[in-house]
Amino acid sequence: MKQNPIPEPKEELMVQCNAETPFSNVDRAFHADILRR
Amino acid sequence: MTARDFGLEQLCPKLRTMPYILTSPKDPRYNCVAFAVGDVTQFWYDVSINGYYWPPSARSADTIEGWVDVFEIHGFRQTDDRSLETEYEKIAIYASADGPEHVARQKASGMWISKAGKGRDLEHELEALEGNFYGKVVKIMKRKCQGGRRVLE
Repeated sequence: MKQNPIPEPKEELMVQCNAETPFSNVDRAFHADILRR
Repeated sequence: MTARDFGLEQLCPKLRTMPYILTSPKDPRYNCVAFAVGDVTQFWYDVSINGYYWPPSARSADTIEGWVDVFEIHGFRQTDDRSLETEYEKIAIYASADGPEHVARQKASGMWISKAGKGRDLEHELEALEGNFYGKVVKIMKRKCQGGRRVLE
């Protein structure tokens, strides 16, 4: 049976983040998904 | 490699004022638990999908007890001492009200190093990752160096 691959981080969205711009809820959810255990 | 991970800083704001060093590129193949035991080829979580691994004898990956099981399998025992003891390797488990969130291992220098989910490895102060995202350190475990040598640097 074919298994689901582990998803790749979306690099293009990662680089838009910077220290001065607070996260929107969508941004927070996206980064949390990448960075949580 | 960039010197800062702004996404991680937003989620762990103490990183804005405490020193940290990014030590790897992003890699989705392994996570913090895998990194803490020295495996950078699998994502340690208990789902039956290729690329994921969880020791069969360990309890659920969603529980602190399950994480403790993993590290006990690797020779670690619980302690309350988070200081550097040169004859021991140590790991620290972070948890929130939802359960275990992150784990870091202590380097011979006394700094801690960990893998942020599917993101990067980073060297950091233990307290620098505490907060709303990873929770706080709830368990410290240690294992004695073998013949004076650490299994992992």
